[in-house]
Amino acid sequence: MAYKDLLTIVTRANGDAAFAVAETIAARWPCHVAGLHVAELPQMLASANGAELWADVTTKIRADNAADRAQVSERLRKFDPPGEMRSVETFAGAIEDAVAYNALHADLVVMERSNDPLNGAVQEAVLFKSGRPLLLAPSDWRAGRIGRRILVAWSAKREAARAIADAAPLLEGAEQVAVVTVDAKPPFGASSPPILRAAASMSICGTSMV
Amino acid sequence: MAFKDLLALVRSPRQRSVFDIAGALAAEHGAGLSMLHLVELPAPVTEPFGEAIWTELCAAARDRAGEQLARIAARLKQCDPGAELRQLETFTGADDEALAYEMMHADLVVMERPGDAIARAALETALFKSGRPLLLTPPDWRAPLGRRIMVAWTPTREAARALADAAPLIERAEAVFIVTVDGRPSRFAETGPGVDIAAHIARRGIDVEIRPVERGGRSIEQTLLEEAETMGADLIVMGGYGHSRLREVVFGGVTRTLSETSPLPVFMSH
Repeated sequence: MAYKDLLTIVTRANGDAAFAVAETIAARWPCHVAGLHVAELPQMLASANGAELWADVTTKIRADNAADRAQVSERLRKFDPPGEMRSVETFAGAIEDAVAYNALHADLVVMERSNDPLNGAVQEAVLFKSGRPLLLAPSDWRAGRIGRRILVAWSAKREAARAIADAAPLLEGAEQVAVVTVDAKPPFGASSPPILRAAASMSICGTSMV
Repeated sequence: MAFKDLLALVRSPRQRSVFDIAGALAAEHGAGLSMLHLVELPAPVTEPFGEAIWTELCAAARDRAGEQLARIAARLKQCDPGAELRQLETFTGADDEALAYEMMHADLVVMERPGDAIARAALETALFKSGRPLLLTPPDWRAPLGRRIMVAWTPTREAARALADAAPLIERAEAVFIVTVDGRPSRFAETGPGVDIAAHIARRGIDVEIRPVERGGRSIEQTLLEEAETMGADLIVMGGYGHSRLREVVFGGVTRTLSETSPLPVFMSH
């Protein structure tokens, strides 16, 4: 099992952590890498000078976005084979659907974690509207192995079941997988904790379960 | 990629298509098979006089279930000697947490096309609570499935989920068709309907044929079924309940119709 189609989404030019993760994944599973640069345009201001002011502001923003995109494009050229450049530049209300459309055509979406509201909106679009899994990298992550020692937070809910299924390539390649439940009770008269059932059902060969 | 854990749901030993298909999939994928006999009890009654009658009815239902279980076990042994068998009691309106729990520990849930309220409830549990895909079998299906797969595609999360979950089947198919109904080029890409998803699947090394289809006055369900027949499909892959259940109950809908009447096996995720 492997990831073959990776989408890296960045909202600023410096999506270094996201691209670093994408490179690590692509080195492990030769895959098609696409980078999506997402930028928001301001809403039109409805006032006497509104239109003119909006036009000035938007022109500046578009120029900044174009510069960001050039940097993203440059970064994508360093992948082997070179990554595919895509961009979304639109008003706040239209961003989610545009992001979701791109994400639902990938196996895995990679993003950097940040407090930026646009980033948050993009993450929600991926999680709620694309049906595809999301790998979030800490913003200072630059290099290293991903998935050697994995902690699975198991809640016996459909989201957790989905996440485990989507993480299969990573789980199968791990040296050690720890399944953690918090305050779980054995369900429905069973005597064994939910953990053991979950661990058994992952059917991971050659990986030690903790 | 292969299914590793299958959960087959049966109401009786007579649901042959479930035994056949689950057994065949388990053999082909080297998967572990568990079968769950879903036993319907009468809904609980607490009022004293009614409670005594309910207790008797439950006892009778459990006796019948016991007889059925023996016949299910015998049939199961023929199609997969290593398969596990469990029983789960339920009633109309029951909490489905136990069933959802069973389902979410499998890679795929297999059950016959629903014919009653209990089965429909199990279908909804699979789609909305388990996080796992569901394979619905027509009662009279005997042939293998998955040689010629029709993917009913819309660019929605449900369809994307179904496609991803169906990967073990799609990779083994001889022919895969991406069918769009009244598809229009996406607002977000300049490509025609189905083109982007075909490119995505191609990256898995799988060639697909794109077939955009116009309804021309037919319902979507009818269009899909007629197209499936034309192409000789033996499996439909689709997103389930892209529209709300209530809307489909009131207005009719693709998921409800196909899940209840499709002459082909249907693989769906929500």
